Amino acid sequence: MPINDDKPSIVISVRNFNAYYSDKKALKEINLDFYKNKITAIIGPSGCGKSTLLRSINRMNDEIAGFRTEGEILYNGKNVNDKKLDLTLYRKNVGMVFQKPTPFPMSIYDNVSFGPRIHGIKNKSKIEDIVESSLKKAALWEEVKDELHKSALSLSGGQQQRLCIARALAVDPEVILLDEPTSALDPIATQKIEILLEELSQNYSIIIVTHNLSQAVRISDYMAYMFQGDLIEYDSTSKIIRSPKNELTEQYLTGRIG
Amino acid sequence: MNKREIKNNSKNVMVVCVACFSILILVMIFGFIIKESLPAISSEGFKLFSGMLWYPTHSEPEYGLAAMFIGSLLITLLTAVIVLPLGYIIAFFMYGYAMPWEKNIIKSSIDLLSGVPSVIIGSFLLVYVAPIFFKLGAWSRENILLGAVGLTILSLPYTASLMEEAMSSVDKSMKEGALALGATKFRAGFSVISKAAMPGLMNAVILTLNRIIGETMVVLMASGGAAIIPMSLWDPVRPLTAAIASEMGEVELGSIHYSSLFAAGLVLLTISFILTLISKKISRRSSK
Repeated sequence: MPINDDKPSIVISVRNFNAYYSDKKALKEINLDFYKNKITAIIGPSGCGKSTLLRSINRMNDEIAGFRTEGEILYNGKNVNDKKLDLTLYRKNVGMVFQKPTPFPMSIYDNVSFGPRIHGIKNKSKIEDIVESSLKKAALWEEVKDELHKSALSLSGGQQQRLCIARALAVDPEVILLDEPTSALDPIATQKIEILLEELSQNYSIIIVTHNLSQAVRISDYMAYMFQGDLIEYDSTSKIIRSPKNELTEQYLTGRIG
Repeated sequence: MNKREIKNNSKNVMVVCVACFSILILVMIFGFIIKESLPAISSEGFKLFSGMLWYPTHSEPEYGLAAMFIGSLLITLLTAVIVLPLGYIIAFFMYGYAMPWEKNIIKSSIDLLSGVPSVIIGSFLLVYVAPIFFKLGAWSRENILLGAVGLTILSLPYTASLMEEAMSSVDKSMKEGALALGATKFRAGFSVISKAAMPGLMNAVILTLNRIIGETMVVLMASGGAAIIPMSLWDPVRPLTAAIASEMGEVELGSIHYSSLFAAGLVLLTISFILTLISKKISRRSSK
């Protein structure tokens, strides 16, 4: 679906994309473009395929037996399902944060430095710089700077989620995918993360799946509404909110579809 | 009391009785073994546990359990050195790499292997493996290495499946978190999942050790009978379990020899008890 705004550049485009879990078709002929340094929210009721779409972007469903796809997802013009793709490098560029905070069972410092180290950075002072700047970007630095070597599991849920964001930022990605990152958090922690995402969108392209409609309205520049595996409507958030073109979208926005 | 109350109460009483019965058995086993080993402990004193010489049937008998105790420890250690890494590798492969059908094959063969009676493993070792060791330079047909190989075959299925369980019980999101950063499957499994599964893995280690040290038939058949401290892999060894199993049937009831075999049993029971406690502690702490 083309969008006739001031046309920001495209970072990821999905072309005629279908996805199946064994025989069940989860995504039907999806076509859309994600824009650079914008926040795009994918919304829709449970089971509409929004998480499947997000997880297909960085190939997180590879591990699931029986999952297969048709069509293309292009990252800067390159097909991400290409067998020759360097998955490690690709996932460095397209990071992901999950619904449940997943700090590794190690120190805060080691959590953030995990990514840079697996991508071959050995210089200790460089890693220290990355840890500090990533934690600062994730607005966690002030809270943890004196206890970097404490276990990450001792942090609160909201802090853990910001740590996961810091960990994703530490490998210097271009795109950050977030799969309902605040659904396990309280309202204050949620608000902190929303503010953070708006700040981050100046330098990163953000794609967020959420079933919290008001959250999508608050933070996103673009909105994609999905229903039962179809992409129903995709436009700038303000347009969708003001005048949804599709009846299904309107029903969802007004709370008639949950 | 009406009929229903009577019915309910009698059920409660039955449950309590059965529960008490199992505790009673445990207490009785401990009590019985302590009682039977007391004569040896009081007549031999500390020498029973520190003495290196085990000549219970000599004209001047010696009842030292230490050599056999050390033998038990050494053969357990040797087996652990083989079986723990091997079990981890199998578990790691099943967890991170195996396709579902491969996992099925490995799992079912492991299950089959764990069902093989230990006496068959012992016979197999004596007939097929011992001659190979003999060619390699073993001077005794039965030796500590042969025993350790048997114990490995016996405990590997157990170790591998416990470790695989420990790794599988780590939340899937942990693995995805690592993969999403660009970690390879190996890196995710080795530095993140194994760390998260550490309590479960340690538990597997403890339970494996417990199983090895208490195993009797294989060591009786394959590790030789000399109650000496083995100095090389080809030396025979006589672990406590083997001594009890082979001598208990012929010993004079009530003699010091008889009693010191029970003291050996007490040592084994204590080790097993401590290992079980540690394992309980680990799993309780990790479930918090």
